[in-house]
Amino acid sequence: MSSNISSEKTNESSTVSQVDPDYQKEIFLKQLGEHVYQQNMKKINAEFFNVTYGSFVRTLIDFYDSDADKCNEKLKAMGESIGSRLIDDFYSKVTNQIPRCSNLKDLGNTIAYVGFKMYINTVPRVIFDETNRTIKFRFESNANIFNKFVELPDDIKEKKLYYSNIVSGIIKAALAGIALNCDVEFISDTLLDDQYTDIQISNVTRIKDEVPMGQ
Amino acid sequence: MVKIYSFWIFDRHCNCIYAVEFDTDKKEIQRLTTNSSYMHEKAKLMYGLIFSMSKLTNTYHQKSIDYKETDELFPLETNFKKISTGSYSIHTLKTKTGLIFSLVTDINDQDRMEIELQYIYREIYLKHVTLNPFEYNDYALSESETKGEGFRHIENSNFDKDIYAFIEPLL
Amino acid sequence: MNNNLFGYEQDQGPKITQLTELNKDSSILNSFNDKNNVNNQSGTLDLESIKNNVDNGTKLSVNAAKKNYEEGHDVSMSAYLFVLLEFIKTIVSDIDNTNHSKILGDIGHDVGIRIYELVNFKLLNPKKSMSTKSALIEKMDNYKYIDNLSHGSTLNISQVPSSEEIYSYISTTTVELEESGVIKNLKHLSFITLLQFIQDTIWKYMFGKKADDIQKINEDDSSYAIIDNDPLIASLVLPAKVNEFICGIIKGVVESANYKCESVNTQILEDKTYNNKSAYIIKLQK
Repeated sequence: MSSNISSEKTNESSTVSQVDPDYQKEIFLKQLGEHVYQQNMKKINAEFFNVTYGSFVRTLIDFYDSDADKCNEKLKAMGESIGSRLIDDFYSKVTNQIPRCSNLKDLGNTIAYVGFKMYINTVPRVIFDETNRTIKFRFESNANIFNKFVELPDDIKEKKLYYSNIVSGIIKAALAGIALNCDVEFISDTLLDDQYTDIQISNVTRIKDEVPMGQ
Repeated sequence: MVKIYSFWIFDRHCNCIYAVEFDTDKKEIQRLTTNSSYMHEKAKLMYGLIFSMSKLTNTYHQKSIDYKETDELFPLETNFKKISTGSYSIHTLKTKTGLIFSLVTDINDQDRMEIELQYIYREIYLKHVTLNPFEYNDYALSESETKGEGFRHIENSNFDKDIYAFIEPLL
Repeated sequence: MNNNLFGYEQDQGPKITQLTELNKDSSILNSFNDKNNVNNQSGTLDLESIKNNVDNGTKLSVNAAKKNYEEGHDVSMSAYLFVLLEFIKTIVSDIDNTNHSKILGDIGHDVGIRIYELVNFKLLNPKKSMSTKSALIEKMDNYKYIDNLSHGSTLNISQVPSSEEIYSYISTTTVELEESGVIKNLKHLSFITLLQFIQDTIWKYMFGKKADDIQKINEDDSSYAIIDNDPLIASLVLPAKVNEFICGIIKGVVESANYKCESVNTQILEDKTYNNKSAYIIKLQK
């Protein structure tokens, strides 16, 4: 018995000493997101947000005669317009507490635990693919805050309208704001009868800092 | 108490998007407008100075910690905060998004204008420019307007008013 | 008692003021908050009385609904503002340059109808059957037996859903008329109680605070103004456009409560302490 206990204890201590720095960073980011959301952000009812977004998207669909491709494009363009402004808002709200990203995984964690948490109060799961260098944000069935109360009509569902496509535009433009070029797209959406809502970031490259003419 | 001579904002395309200069007797204000070649010339000089300084700072910083450029995505950067000369000092704030806020003041050892610059960025700039959907997202609309060749700038009377209200007691 | 229904002589009605000279005296709001006014309590949305109306089995759910609907699952206002302003910009610059007030109003109208339904639903029909089965639903189904002690089911602590779960249960429910009968609707004694409902409940649901005042404008009971000293979403940029949207919401709510509304207009009032003090003027059809 006593030997058992002692072996357990050594196991515990060894795990404590080998705390993964990545894991610690993740925990820190989670706490930071929670803290910033509670302290620095004004809040508004989520359902009011859903309903407003829904009504505007419906207007957009009407305007484009249910052309899902055009709607997707327009939503993404609007997202990009938001994102390029949102990044300034983001940095002014998190102040200087945010740790520097050193790799892609950090980037994904920061977006998920701080970015998503701060703005829509939801944290997606981050799936990082080392070989393809892609980051996936996965929302379980009903977690995507945009999708609540929504059911797409069949004809639009067939045309593959990504209802919350605005998010992909926001991420793309926000990253462009900190000089990172990337492709962001929706892979699946629970509204289109997929199991999860997946947003994927791929092909991350750095935009070279501009130098003035003649330098 | 510091005395402010001028205030500048540069975007990440090396363009000056806002500039205002004050005379010694408080009243006269030189503004960046499309036609004022005087301010444009001055903005270029100003940017050149800040640009070379930050480049120098980065080089020394990277040397000092033995940094190799292996990770191209997230380079290590540092910023300089203040240049002092015999007659004036330049305080800058470079945001993560590439904006540069800069205040030119008289020489004063105690005062670091960091809080003031942060306030301008967080409160005034954010409220009137960032959150306003009718401002440009990017002041360079095409490729030809990047690299310091742009001419667009912030034309927002509320922004002017708030900036002046904030700076006036420091003039 | 009847003479004193809304704090004024019923034969004469409340004091009339022009909107440009609105003042505290003309407020008909204070009388509503008077707890001693018996007629008041039966007519307005007092959650206590609603709780008594709903059968005991759902008492806990009502409490949860009340809590969540007051505190709410929330998102940041920045996100809301970004999305709202971007859509307004799209409508003004891309979709319709001349008639955007009407489009904004229509969208607000949509939102208003839904919000009225949502608030009604949350207040009065918190317990409904589910369309799909999941672990959470089973948990909730088990939990239902607790109220009915004659079934003899025992309760352990793991079976008690957290308030989060109850909330998500409530918010994912669908209404099935066959089981629940007719959806109960809130009854408003008069237009003024509806106004108070908007000023208090709806405003709190949307913005987390009450609107500051209701005032009567016309002699013939056809125009009222809801006044917000510091409108939450209209405080930063484009207050006029955002107010048009809020007008649409009010119109939607008024119409879904079966009142015929001619128009809802907005006006930004001059005030020394508040920059964007807004009045939303509701005009009823005669």
